[in-house]
Amino acid sequence: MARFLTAVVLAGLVGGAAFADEFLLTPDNTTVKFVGTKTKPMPGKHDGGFKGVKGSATYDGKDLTSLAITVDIDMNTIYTDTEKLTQHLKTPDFFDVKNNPASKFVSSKVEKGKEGYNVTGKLTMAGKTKELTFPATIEVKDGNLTLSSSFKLNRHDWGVSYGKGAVDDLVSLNISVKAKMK
Amino acid sequence: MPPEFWDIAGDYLFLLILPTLGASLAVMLDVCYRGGGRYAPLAAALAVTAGLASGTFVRSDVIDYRVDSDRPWSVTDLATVLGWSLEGQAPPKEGEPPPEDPPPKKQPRYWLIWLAGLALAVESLVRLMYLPAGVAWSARTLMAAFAGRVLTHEQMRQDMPWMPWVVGLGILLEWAVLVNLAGRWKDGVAALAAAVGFWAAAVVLIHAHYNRGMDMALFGFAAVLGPAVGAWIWRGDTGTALAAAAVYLPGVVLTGQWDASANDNKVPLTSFICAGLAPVALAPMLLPGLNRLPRWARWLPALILVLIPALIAVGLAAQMESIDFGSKNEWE
Repeated sequence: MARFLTAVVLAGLVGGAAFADEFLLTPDNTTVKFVGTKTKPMPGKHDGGFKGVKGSATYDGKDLTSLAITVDIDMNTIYTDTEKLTQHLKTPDFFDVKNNPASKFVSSKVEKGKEGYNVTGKLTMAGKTKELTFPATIEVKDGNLTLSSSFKLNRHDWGVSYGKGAVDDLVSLNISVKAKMK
Repeated sequence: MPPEFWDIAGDYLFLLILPTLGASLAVMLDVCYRGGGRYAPLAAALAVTAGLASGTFVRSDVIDYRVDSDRPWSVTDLATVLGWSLEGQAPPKEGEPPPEDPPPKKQPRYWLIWLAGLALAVESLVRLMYLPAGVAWSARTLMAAFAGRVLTHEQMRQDMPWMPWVVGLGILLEWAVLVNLAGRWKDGVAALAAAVGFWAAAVVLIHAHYNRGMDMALFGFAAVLGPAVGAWIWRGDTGTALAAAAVYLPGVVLTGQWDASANDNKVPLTSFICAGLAPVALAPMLLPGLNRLPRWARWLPALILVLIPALIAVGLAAQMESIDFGSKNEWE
């Protein structure tokens, strides 16, 4: 009986895995961009992003709330519209990429929201892990996963606190995924 | 200079230098006014502490002094974080599983302010207890060796196992030169030399595009200026404050160089070394003959001696990297 039950459970697991849709996230199909604003010495904004984004997304093929996303970001691939700012962002004033070369997001749940979905997970950045929930439009059609999201996060939650009062606390993030099924 | 430079300079003056210097100077002058020059060691210790506390209160985003701002302070957390810094791992606990939610691992710069405070305490105790020279120098040597270990990044220790000893030696040398001259001269010139070192460190670090490093150096610059002025007026010994400076100055440069190297800046290592050890250039002034020069005859050569490495540091940094205040830059 025990053997039979084990076989049933294993078959279920293997079968489940076989039916799960998996999407590989690569720098070609996934972009993470940000806009930082500041008030001193004069108001302004800077655009930037990360070139080294990779990860995976899986779901059961039926319900998008079963979506599980893992994203790794190589923080050394950060870029902005100004070379000197890119250099500055790599220091411990902001991301401290020498000591924290990678950021990671691992989703824990995806729920239906008023418009689209709300993705919740843990974001590790600058050596600190915090829970993050952001709204997203998600669609899987003809074997293509499309996800787009725009939201703001508070940099102080991850200990990125330098320049308080000069650099705004909230940073706008724009995430876009257009991935084909594996 | 473009207008934005003056805005930034104004912010630094009013939000960092003046709060630090103001508190440091006020405490130094007050204690020396009440007790005279013989109270200068106590006044100097209190002055740098007040200066750094005041500066940190106004600019709370520069010096990270808490183990974890999200959780209450605990000895266990402190021991864990110190264990990481000393050995690259948390101290083992027999029979206890590792904590599920450990405090964040701290980089060497985190310890700077605490080590400077510890050096200040060591120097104050040496004086308060009238310890014999041998015991006093043993305590200073132990402190310098400990600071050298903690301030050297784990990765640097793996690549260059001798580095903590070199850093410790540098700290001890700086400590010896500054404390000896402060005790002999009692005129604030040694404290002024430390301030010049901090100024050079600040300029070098901003050329490495590391603003927080520059801010940390400017805290040191403003904090030691108070004792320098007080000692000049009341002819007092500022050695206690300079013990803190002897750890803080090489430390801010060492950790700053390590932290800023992430951005591939071209500021040469020589620049950082010259800034961090600038006060050691006063060593010739300890030679017989020179150390007994009258006040009017010694301050200028002393200033020239410390300015040589400081200007080399700044010149090399400015040659290799620019702080562009043009139209399309990070300050825009």
